[in-house]
Amino acid sequence: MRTVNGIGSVGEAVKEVVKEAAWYLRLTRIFTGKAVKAMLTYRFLFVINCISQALDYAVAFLLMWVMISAFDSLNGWNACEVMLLYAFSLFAYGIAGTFFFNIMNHLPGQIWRGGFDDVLIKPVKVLPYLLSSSFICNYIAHITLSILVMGFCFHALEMPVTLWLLLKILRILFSGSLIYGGFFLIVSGSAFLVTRTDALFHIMFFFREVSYYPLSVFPKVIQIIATVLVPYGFINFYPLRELLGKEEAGGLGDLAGWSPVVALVFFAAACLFFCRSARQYKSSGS
Amino acid sequence: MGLCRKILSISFKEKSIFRFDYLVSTLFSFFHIVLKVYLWKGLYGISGGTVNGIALNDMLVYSILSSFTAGITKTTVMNDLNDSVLSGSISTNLLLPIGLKKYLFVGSVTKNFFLTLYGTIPSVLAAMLFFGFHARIRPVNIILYLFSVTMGILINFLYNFLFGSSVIWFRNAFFLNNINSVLLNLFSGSFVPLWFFPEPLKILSVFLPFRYIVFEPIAVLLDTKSVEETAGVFTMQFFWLLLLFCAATFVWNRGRNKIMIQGG
Amino acid sequence: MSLIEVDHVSKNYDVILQRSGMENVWKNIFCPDRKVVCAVQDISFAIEAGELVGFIGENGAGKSTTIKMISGILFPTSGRISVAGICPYLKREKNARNIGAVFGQRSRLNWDLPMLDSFELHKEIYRIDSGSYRKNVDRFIEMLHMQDFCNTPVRQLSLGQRMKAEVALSMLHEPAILYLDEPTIGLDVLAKQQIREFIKERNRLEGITTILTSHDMKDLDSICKRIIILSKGSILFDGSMERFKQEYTKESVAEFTYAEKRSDQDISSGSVRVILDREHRLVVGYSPAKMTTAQLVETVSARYEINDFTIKAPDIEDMVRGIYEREEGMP
Repeated sequence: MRTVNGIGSVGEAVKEVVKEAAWYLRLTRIFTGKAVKAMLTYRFLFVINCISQALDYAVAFLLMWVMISAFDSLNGWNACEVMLLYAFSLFAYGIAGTFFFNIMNHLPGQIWRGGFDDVLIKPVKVLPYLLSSSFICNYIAHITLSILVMGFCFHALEMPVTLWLLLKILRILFSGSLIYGGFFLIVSGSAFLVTRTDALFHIMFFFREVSYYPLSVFPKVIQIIATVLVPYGFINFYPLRELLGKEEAGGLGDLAGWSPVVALVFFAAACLFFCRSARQYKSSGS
Repeated sequence: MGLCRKILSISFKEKSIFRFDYLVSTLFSFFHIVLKVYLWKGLYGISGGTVNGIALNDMLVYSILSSFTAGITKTTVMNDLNDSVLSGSISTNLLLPIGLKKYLFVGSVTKNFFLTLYGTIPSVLAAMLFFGFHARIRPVNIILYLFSVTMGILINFLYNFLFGSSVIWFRNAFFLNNINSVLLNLFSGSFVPLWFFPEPLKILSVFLPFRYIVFEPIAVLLDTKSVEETAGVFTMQFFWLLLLFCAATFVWNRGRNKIMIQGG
Repeated sequence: MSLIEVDHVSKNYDVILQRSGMENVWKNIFCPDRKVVCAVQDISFAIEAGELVGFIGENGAGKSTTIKMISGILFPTSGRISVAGICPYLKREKNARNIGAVFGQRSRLNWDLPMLDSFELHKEIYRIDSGSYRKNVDRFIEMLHMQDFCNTPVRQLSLGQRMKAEVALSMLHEPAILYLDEPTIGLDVLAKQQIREFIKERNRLEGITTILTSHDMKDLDSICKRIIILSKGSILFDGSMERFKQEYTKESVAEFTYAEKRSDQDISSGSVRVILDREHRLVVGYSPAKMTTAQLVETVSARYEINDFTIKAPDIEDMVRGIYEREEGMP
């Protein structure tokens, strides 16, 4: 990688990156293996925690169904359609949480108590290392539950699950997970800059709740914020509105096609923010 | 009583340093009320009208009141117990010259006092200003509400204490906390009032204490009940209070013995 | 060129001051008071390969900041650092392969697993080849007497056992430089002893350059050949252990019991003073820098018929306390 001219060296660079990525994947596998081994001591607790968490969300689904059924529809969305919104949001959150939740959960404490120094002292890149060491399986409950709800709702809406629909669903879930992942990273990264990340944390979870319902229910201000400032609308509202063929004019027009683009840009920006903030830590210290 | 005053004054000193996080949490508890209100507006649609005999305005009033009631009946005693069992500080707490149940209750009430003062009341007032609050409430109902909500606070505390004590055996209250929030969300009426519940859930709720924490006090305040029904609510609250108190005392005494014998 | 070169390095922190009170809420949010705190101020030193260096300093003297800068965790505000020819904070990852670190206050072991599992993770992170990994693990387990507990979950280990595992962990990848921050804090005497021996042994066999901070002066005394004393971000002393003892030793005290006095002549001089002389007991203070024990005994026995004597050797702890107190301006 001495000279960066010619196709050969570009190939070298790509090879190098692939090799690094493979190494971090291996590291993830080993870390996860150890985490699972550690968890086996608390097998019973793990299972019961997952079940109770699934129950928590199941009740939320139930309440949603109770509430909307009593009224027929929420702004033109029937109970099953709103539950689909919720399920897509929850699924994406679960996927993102699998990779990023532990980073967000542990980083402020690590920075506060100086444990982050232990990361910096290792011959590893900060973000890939944190990703490798933070993978958790606790979100299996969220993911399973949302798949069940999705299956139920698509069945109730009489939408046959074709391969084409499945691909569309995967595209939506992929974008959604990236957006949630971006949020986890922004909240985590802000821990390098400020001692309390409560405000961002509140924003993230408030809009998560907003995303459980059709965006068009809320005042225009929230619609604009959830589209432009925090791209929660792209997690489920815009793409599902198109998927379900709803004809309503909420939000900022028909933006379903933008979802993957927005998600990628947002996630990249979040990564950049995280790395910049981590660099800031090195010059300011704890 | 002296001890209560002492704890109160310490917390007051601690918390009177008005901080950014209070501002943020107040702001977001306001936003949560906004969210609820717009949901109800969306559900009622443009036409309005009544559903199950409840009009949109009633629902807005209920939303605001339930935010307030859920706010003041809240307790973190399950987490507190969990933390002190896991960190081992429960053994030192047992050395205090006051029963741990009483100590935790005072702590819980003081904590809530400040959350109410800085979080719940400002956000509820903001919501009232923002959306309007059109309800005719008679002074006598306010008194009945205050009585009923006090019972609600006690019921929620005792219930949480009862199941929180089980960390002495389980050593982790995460799932208990989850189950608790499941039941409270579902049956207390803090989100969806029991008016809209399908029959089986309604019947189930009668046999559980949760509706007496949020839903029934508000129902009393809004004067939806006859004198007999109100008396019935109080009787049930009293019954649950007594039952939970006995159960909590029984379980706690066994737990305390376990800690004292096995050293936590 | 030295292994570690620190050249006129300073480090300032920006500290945000929280004002209390209702009226200052907005001020705290939008225009917080900032204060620049100088943690390290224009320090320079060089450490050669294979040295055993101890850092001494009260809390907040700049010890950890200095170590963090050399290990690449923090950028210096000004100045230049080079470790094995590279700049640690610009080439952090490359530098990190070369160093091992133990922070006594924090554990890097997974609490729910036996220490060997944490070792395996370490092997992956530092890309240690299986051959030298096996060899090092076996040797370390033997040297630190860890056979009995290497398969027990770390949660159930005693503090001493855990710290042994931490120290071993930090040396698995055969680092050239080892940073030990309070490695013996809170340990019992035996564990302390074993860890000290292990560190010295590794230094002797592999030439690992070791930098140690500790509040336990016996650690420093038994391990370190060289001492750097920091106070309020500046270097107060940098030199060998012997020179440190000579320069900072105040008075030693010797106590004699004697049968009789040969003469009434006073033995006090520039280097000896009599503290007490009564009922066949003589207590004198003397400065070891100016007078050896043999000379003292000679001086005393010229005038007294000595039966027995004891000498209270100068304590490093006393010396360091003396230095701090001088800095604080206390008597």
